[in-house]
Amino acid sequence: MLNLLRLAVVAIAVVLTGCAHQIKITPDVSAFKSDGVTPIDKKVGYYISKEDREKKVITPGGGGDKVQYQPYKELEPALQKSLSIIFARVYSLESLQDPQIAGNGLTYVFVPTIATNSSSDSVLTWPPTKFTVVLACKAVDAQGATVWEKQFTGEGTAEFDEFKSDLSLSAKRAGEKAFAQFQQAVASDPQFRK
Amino acid sequence: MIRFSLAATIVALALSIGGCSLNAPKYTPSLDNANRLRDAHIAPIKVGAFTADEKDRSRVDKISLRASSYASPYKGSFISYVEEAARAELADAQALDPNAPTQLDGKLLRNDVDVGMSTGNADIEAQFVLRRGGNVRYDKVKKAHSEWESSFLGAVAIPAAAENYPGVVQKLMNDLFSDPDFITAAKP
Repeated sequence: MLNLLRLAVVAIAVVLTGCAHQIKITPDVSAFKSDGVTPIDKKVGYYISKEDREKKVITPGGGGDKVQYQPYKELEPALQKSLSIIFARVYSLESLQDPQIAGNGLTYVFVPTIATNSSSDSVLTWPPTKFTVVLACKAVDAQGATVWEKQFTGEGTAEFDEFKSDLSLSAKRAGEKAFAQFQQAVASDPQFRK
Repeated sequence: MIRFSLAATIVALALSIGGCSLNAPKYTPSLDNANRLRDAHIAPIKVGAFTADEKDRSRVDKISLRASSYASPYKGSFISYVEEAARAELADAQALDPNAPTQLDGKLLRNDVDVGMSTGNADIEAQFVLRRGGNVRYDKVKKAHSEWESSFLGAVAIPAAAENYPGVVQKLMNDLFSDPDFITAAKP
């Protein structure tokens, strides 16, 4: 009986070990606030390549497991929301030569580069207890010249009592922090109010 | 030591596989809907309290993912989830006004999530009614279907279903807010 149990546990452990659990790292965009932001009456765009949008990333979770997600696709709503709070209109562009730039009179195009990492200090549970989002973003003008470039790092943590009902919590917190810094930096930069 | 390792493994597996309660992610509105509704210059809209027929309420207002319960972040109700989704879409389009004479009401007719062994499915169906001054300007049933990769392992399949459910609500909202009849009905 004990041998059977041992076999079953090992079999399940083998199946589970190394498997990548799907998480979704989109933060709660309703938490993005416009308080203190003076809107800018300009139209802007952002560009995420098709390859980046579909990119799947695997980073460590707990207990030897891994987590899998799509950082660009899942953080895109945070980029949209941050820009929408600041600018009058925001467009998603197919390329940096998208006809919408001239057609809609866009003044700036934001181009994000996103790196992520995760870890866990738990050997019993797989959701990450710590997650990091590094958002590097540049803005180009309508002629394609880079006019602004900055990098922001958001770190999110979550313990078992918190993440047991939201397995992506540390990731969502990290994204929220990175984009809050981004929003604050764009909103306060005189470059975008010229 | 072996007994401890075995016990730890079983506990870990139990935590990984066992039934638990997961919260649905809050709704994320669509930029396309916001731009479309802003470009259309629709009149401000008030969102009424969405409902369900009593015979359907327990079936559409709560969701279970295999043995796990799945909680709505909006008053624990998935009827409210759809209502808040509509409110979030209109807010992002700057077309939400709690005092507007135009009101959007909704009735949730179907809200099913199937955590399959290889594919997960969600189906949602709702009736949307737009009224102004006592006149019905729009009355249509919209439905949406969504699929995602699932697994026989609950530890993989249940979180995947939990994270993918909002996608079917987004599809429902896209269908409503891209409907030319809705946009015409919502104009001043």
